Amino acid sequence: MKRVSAYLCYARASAAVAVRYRTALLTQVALLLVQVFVLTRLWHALYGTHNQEEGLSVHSTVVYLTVTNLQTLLMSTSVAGFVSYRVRQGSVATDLARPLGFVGQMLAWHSGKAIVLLCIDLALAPVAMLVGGFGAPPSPAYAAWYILLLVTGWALNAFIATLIGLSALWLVQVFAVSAIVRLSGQFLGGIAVPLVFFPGLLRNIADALPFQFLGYVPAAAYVGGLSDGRILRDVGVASVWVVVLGASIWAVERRARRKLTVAGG
Amino acid sequence: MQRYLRIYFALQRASVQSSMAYRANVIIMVLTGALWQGGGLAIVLVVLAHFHTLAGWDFRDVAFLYGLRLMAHATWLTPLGSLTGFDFAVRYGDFDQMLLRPVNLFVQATTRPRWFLGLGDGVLAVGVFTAAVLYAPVHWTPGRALLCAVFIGAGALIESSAWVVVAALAFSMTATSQIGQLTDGAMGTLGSYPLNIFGATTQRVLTFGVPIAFVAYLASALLLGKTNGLVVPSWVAYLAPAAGALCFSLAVWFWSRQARHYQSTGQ
Repeated sequence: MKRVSAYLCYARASAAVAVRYRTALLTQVALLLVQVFVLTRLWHALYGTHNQEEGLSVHSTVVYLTVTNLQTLLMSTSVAGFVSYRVRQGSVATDLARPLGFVGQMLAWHSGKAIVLLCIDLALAPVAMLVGGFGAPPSPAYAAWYILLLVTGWALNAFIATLIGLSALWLVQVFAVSAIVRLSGQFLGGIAVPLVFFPGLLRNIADALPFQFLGYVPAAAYVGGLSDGRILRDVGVASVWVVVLGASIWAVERRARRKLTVAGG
Repeated sequence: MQRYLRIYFALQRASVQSSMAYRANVIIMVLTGALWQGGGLAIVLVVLAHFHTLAGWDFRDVAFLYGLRLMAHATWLTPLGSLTGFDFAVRYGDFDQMLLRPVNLFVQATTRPRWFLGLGDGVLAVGVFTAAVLYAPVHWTPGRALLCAVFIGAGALIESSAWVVVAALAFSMTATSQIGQLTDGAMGTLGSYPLNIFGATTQRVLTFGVPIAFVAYLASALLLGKTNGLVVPSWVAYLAPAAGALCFSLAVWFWSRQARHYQSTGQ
């Protein structure tokens, strides 16, 4: 119980830091609205007189893009940079000396900020849908699938960020690695282009990676673009990814602890 | 002027040498820069492979617009890229040292050690623009080539003006990285597509309010002969150099004014 309350303190501190830097959050929100505005106009222009492409109507696509961009805000995390900073400063030694798991501390940090981002997302959703497009899931079942897939995607994102953060124990500076993973992840996750529009090889690559669960899969479920069978299969595949990435974190952390050298700080 | 240029190039050389001390970091930064800008191009490639046209612009046209914007972007980022991290100089007291040197402050601000994200942008810009020039349906003449070069310079001035203003805000706000990200994101997102995907009002705002249309869209429309979709007369495109010079002058003036309000953070 004491451990849980310690992790909660960590999450509260992370939420407080996120709120303290509210200018950064407001800027993220402004950029998100610009992206929703441009992407939705872009897709309206692309559809032109066509009503339906690849099983998606123009309205579904616009709602999909609004939802994926709102998800992007929720998925933005500072964990990788946070670990990298603490490795450079040497304060990672303090984290490791605490009677709490290092990865647990990082995930608590990720969760604290995520709660703030979720509140912003919920408040922002009507504005973003006004700028982009309004739309609700076709049925309560789809809404439930959406929430489940979003939570799974959020967990996968946290695990990916933690793995990049742990790589700081070897690389020290992970800004570029983090940026490369984030940018390719956003593209292959279908944030700006639904994966159904990807050509064959690119689609296969996107399907083989976990990034689709951060953007495409939940958003496609939200607009009713996935069948029940496909959703069940995706939940299964996402769960396998959670296990694989969780095991990778466990293995990498064990090696990282042996590798770490704190010189001064 | 000659003295300033000599000092500028000497400081730029020192800046590059100091950054090259971390070569692996430079290589990764170049790759990241290329990926950063290439992401937008990948979106264009994927959607136009499926839909073939975007508001009357085919892939070659959009690639030309994209390449022109990237060239303008790389053209300002190469000499003035240090401005993107200028808030660090204010926050960590480096600006105190600049004040002690008998060299123009703006010249010093543009010659600080920099990250090499811009080099990746430049490599991608040259590649995309070369391919676009070869395949774009433009009837090239020496006059058009010169006009294109002038438009790239004008676009660079307009985009850099926005960054000079962001750098100037560092004097009062101390941390401006998020505003910088917003500026970069907005420029990249709004400047890379034909603006006729928007309504007339938005197009006018993006021409006369926030002059993003002058960065590459109006020039591309003129060179590609796609002036039918413009909500302004086509001759407005020729105002790009004047708009660039005006924006940059105003931005540098604003930077100099803001610099007077500098208060050291004491670090």
